[in-house]
Amino acid sequence: MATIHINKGHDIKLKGAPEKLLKSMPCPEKIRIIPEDFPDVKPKLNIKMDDQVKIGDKLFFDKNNPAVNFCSPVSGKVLEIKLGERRKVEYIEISCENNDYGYDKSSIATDSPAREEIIDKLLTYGLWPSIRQRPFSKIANPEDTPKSIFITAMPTAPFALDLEHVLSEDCSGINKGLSILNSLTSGDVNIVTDRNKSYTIFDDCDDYSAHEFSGPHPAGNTGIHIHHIDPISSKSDIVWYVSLQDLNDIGKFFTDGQYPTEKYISIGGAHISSPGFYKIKKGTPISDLLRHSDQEDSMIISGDVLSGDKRDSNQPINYYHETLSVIPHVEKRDFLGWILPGLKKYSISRTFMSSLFEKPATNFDTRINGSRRAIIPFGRWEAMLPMDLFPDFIIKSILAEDIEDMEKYGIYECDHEDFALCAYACQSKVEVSKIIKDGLQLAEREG
Amino acid sequence: MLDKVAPSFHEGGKLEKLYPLYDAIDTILYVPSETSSHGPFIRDHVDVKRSMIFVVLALLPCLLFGIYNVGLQGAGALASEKSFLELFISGALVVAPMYAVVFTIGGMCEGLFAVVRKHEINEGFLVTGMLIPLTMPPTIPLWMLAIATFFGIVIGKEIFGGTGYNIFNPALTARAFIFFAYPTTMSGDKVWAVDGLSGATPLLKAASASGNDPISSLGNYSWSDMFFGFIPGSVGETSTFCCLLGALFLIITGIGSWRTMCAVMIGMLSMTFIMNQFGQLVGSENPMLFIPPHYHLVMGGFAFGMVYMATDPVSSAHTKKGMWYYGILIGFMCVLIRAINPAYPEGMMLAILFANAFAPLFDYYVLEANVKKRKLRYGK
Repeated sequence: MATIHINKGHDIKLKGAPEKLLKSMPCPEKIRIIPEDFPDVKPKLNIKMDDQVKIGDKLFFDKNNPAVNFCSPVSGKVLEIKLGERRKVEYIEISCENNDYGYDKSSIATDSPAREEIIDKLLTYGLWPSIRQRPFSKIANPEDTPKSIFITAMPTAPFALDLEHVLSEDCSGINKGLSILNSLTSGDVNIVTDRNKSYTIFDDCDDYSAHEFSGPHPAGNTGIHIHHIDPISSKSDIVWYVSLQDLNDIGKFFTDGQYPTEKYISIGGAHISSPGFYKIKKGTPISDLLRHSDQEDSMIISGDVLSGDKRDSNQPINYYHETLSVIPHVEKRDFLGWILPGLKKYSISRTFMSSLFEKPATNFDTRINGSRRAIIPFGRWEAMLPMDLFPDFIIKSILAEDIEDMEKYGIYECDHEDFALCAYACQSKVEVSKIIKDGLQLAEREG
Repeated sequence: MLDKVAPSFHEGGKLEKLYPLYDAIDTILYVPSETSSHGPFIRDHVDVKRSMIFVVLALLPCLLFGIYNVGLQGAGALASEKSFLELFISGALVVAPMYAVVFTIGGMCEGLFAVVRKHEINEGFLVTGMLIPLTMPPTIPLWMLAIATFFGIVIGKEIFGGTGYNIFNPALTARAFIFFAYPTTMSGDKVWAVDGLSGATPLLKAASASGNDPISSLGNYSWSDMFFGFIPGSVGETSTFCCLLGALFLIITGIGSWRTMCAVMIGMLSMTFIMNQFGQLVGSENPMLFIPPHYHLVMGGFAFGMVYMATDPVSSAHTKKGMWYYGILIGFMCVLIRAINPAYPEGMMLAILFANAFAPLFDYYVLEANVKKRKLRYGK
């Protein structure tokens, strides 16, 4: 049990924050699965066009790790398999016709399954990909035994879901999920909650190690929790992490064989007609989610505005993301931005008049608001990273491709989402998040 | 209009090579419209231009007072007969040509390197350009100033790759160059000679006195004169009050590091204490050993160096802990050089350059300590 207060970081107040209301989205006509959502996975298809698939049927597996399967969350016909350059699978489109299962639900439920059985079932029915590992934030290797497993119940990013609120509807799987995860690790299963909030969803749960964090974003990021509770020392020092929703789903799957076909997401943005929390079918195209909203001159981001990815409205949000953000995309230029007092300019730095007042919610757009420059260490990165690491030196060692220094300065503890605020606050507009991503790739390949 | 000429500066255009110049002018007027192509998709409104301009703003009190003081000191005994405006104008007539020279030469160097090395024209140049004349005595021949600027920008900064990559503070490099290349102009006892009048700086007076009572040797310069800056000296450094105003502004806006400034003060105070004790212990006749700390603060370039030079984020230590060591070293060295080195009583410039050289070492040890600490945590 650890109680940790985070001082560094910042909660960016954006206009169009989701309301605390849970609604259900109607089932879409068709869904899409994007293999690229899974880092490092080389998809090999099990299906072809016009095949009928049922819930839980295998769609493809990973060529690098054939045990890992990816299954269908819906029952219907394969409408399209879009291949891109070098026959890379870009997406698989499936119609939603009925709720037929491709397996016998009662064959799944067991009271106290053995470790091998659990892993085998998770792999076979495509639930395994929801378990990811650090370092590298990729799908966990079933042959590893992690030193601990982390679950965050307090996402702090802009427009984040309130997990306590949405899961209080049905949190029946959490306890079972915890006992499943406990059999996968040699250490603890850690759940991190917000110290300033009360939770009811863990009331019937035992068998986990509870931690409380407080403070501004990124206090809710798994990377920050791991750093403070069970830090990663090297490439082979492995920690797994699962989202709380997936934990609940895994529990329900092992209770009565119920397949996770839906997930909760938050939708936010100033142009969104009703920003809030939604229950959606996995793989629902974004255009269905934003049916009533004006999308002109805006950028659609799967995930939060800091660490998410740009998406087309035909695509679904990323498999792992729980937020859909829509922000204005403009290209107009501000006059004399370097000297005007800036009463309405939102800034973490204290160089705008706006810093004299309480910051109101702002409608940020996608402009980078400045020119790109060499790194000048004003200390803004450090102020945004609540880890005992030196971001300046990690970034410089990555740019120099000096793997030895990268490892020494703690590259394996890093993830791009934890550095997103550094990139946000950087006055030289350095692509900190991207550099961290590149650095991790380099370290994985050659470290 | 700028948009109209833009195509010739972009890739493939006639004037493609001059893009950095176009970009510099263009972005002075308007913030670029570039949008983020990957996450994070929102970015803070602060940029380097604004950060650097804030350093320039912080220098304004020193500059304005400096101009007035140049007029005041230049008028010498006649000062009381002239109005404030007259003094200010006569000061401006001295200082304006200095700025003209520095920005012309400096701008040319920066522009040339930007075009050849294909880097952007960095706003750090504005700060360097602002600082150089302020660190120079107003009597300096303009050609010397030109050479110093060239040296400071090219050797101090550009050969390392431009702003962000330099090891030493470019403005101080320029100052040091002049000091070593033309010692007679910079460190003789006649540092002041406008309108044929001359006067020694308080530091020099104290240094050339003997005995253990340096204060009485200052003659008619009182502490408050020196604090507010009505004394001869380099253009911008005389007024500790204006420097402290600038410091306040830098700290409030978060541009200058309060850690470094505090550390320099701590270093200075503790070293002065040591020196005072040491002087008494050995019964020394060196007056510089006996200068009390509040006089160190107001004499010479200490305050100016502490506020504007030591805090340069690029050449100072980069880690927070490192900043403390770095600042303390500056305070230490400054007093040490002032007290022990008889040839040149102004220790601040050399102290900062010395500490610039040591800054990476401090960072290295802070990092190593961090690596060790984390190793212990992993083992747990």
